[in-house]
Amino acid sequence: MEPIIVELKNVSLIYHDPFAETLAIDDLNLTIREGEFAAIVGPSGCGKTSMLNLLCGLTRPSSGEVLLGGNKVTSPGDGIGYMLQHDHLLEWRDVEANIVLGLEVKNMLNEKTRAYALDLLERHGLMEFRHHYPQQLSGGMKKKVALIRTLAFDPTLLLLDEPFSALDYQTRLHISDEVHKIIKQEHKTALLVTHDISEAISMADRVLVFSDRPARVKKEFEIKLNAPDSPIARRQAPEFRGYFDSIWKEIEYREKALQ
Amino acid sequence: MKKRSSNKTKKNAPATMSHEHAVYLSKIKRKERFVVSMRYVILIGFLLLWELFARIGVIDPFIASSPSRVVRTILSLYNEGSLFTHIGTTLYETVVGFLLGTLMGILLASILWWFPTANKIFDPYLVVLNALPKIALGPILIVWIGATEASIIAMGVLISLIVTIMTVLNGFNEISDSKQKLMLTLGASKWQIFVKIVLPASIPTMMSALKLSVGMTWVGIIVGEYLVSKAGLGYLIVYGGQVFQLDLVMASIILLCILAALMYYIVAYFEKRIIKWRKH
Ligand SMILES: Nc1ncnc2c1ncn2[C@@H]1O[C@H](COP(=O)(O)OP(=O)(O)OP(=O)(O)O)[C@@H](O)[C@H]1O
Ligand SMILES: [Mg+2]
Repeated sequence: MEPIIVELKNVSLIYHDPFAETLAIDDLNLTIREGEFAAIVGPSGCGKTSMLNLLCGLTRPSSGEVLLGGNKVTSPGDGIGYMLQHDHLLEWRDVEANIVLGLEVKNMLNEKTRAYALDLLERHGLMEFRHHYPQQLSGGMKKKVALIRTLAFDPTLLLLDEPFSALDYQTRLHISDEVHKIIKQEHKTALLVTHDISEAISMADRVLVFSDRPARVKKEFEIKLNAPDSPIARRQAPEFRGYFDSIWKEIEYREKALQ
Repeated sequence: MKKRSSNKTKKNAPATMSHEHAVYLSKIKRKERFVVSMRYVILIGFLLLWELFARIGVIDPFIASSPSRVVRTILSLYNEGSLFTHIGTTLYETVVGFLLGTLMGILLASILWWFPTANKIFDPYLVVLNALPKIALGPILIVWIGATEASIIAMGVLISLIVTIMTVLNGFNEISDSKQKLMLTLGASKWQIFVKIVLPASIPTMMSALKLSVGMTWVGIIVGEYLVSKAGLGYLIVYGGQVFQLDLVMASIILLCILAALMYYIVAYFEKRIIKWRKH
């Protein structure tokens, strides 16, 4: 088995605001191994984003431990690339200046790292847009640029928080395919949060279904599909339907319990 | 925004265009030409009517002056050698007041952004200061600073400062949380967030704050000159009014119009340049 990259041990998270305290995550345990592509699906507001924020070190757990490569995560470090729902390319920077933002912030920008970032751009077919501005790019291309910005400082783990939700369906299929390809080619470990069950099954090796808030892992599915390793092809696999139904049932069960 | 889209259409415009598109374009051009020429017609018409009515006695040139008398007054100021002294004095005070007000405004807005608690504490004070007619502070300034040019400049600064702080601070605070979250995920420090996101993203707001504050500074400087000065266009206006020389008043007002417009366009030009530079 591959070594463990991320480990959450009995993690709880409580938010405080003037009106109430919210238990967002309760006693969550989770491990992710190197090279794995894991997906998390779960009801709205169950604590998925909160968990990614914990992993990234943006917030600290109220109790429990968050380990990255065996070390406690205390602040956003270089090991994690976090791709948010909105791409937030800076409109006053061209593509090249955008993809080196992370390197710049981390004081890692030099000829070598810039060359690496540009090489990513080249290999993933965006070199001709190097000097374009975000407003000149399509929604799908912006996502790819945002992904390359996230990969430019060579993180070991990628966190993706509903990265495709702002795209239309066609673009979404296409871009999830490309993003998957890029992540595989760059040998990254990835954790994807999504509302879209099909997207989760088509992209991930493992799907974790989260319970209602407070978030816990309710059920895990190892996804083994008889298809080429590409999300679009994987959607055609004969086993796809079965996985979809099982995950759907997990979530539907919750809906019933709610009523 | 407008600029951007027009750039785009220019870039994407096909080498050959359909007849309809050509007609459409010429229609737009004709309309534009009409608007511009109407502006000149109104200006020239106004000046001609003014002159005419003054000559045939519909209006009393002693009270309302006339374009030719204004020109004569300006020429005689020039011959006396005091024209440029007055213009220079007012212009100097305005430019200094504007620059000081802007720099201090942006600096204070940055400090308030940096310390959200301070922002909260000072918020009601800012609101009251903003609502207060700063002109009311004129006598205090004179007592504190003295009847000097410094008082005039202080008046100009005072009038534009609060608006600048509020507009710029608003711009800073409007930067979306998720853009800041992006920076935080990269491990950015507060200073990096300020320099790489907040400042560049608020340049458009800052530029519109500048355009606002140029006008405000003029108000402050002229009022300041009313109160204390021995030279400058504001002084000429007050003096002309006191000795019932309306030609002098009108001439100064017209000079003021030209200068204020000029300064506004200079700021607007810089705005355009900076926004262009920011994108390339
Ligand atoms: N900063 C905060 N302060 C207080 N409560 C918060 C905060 N952030 C999130 N919460 C609450 O914690 C819970 C989990 O939020 P979170 O954003 O992690 O959910 P999510 O699973 O990502 O939801 P979605 O699917 O809508 O993105 C929600 O009930 C939310 O209201
Ligand atoms: Mg979320």
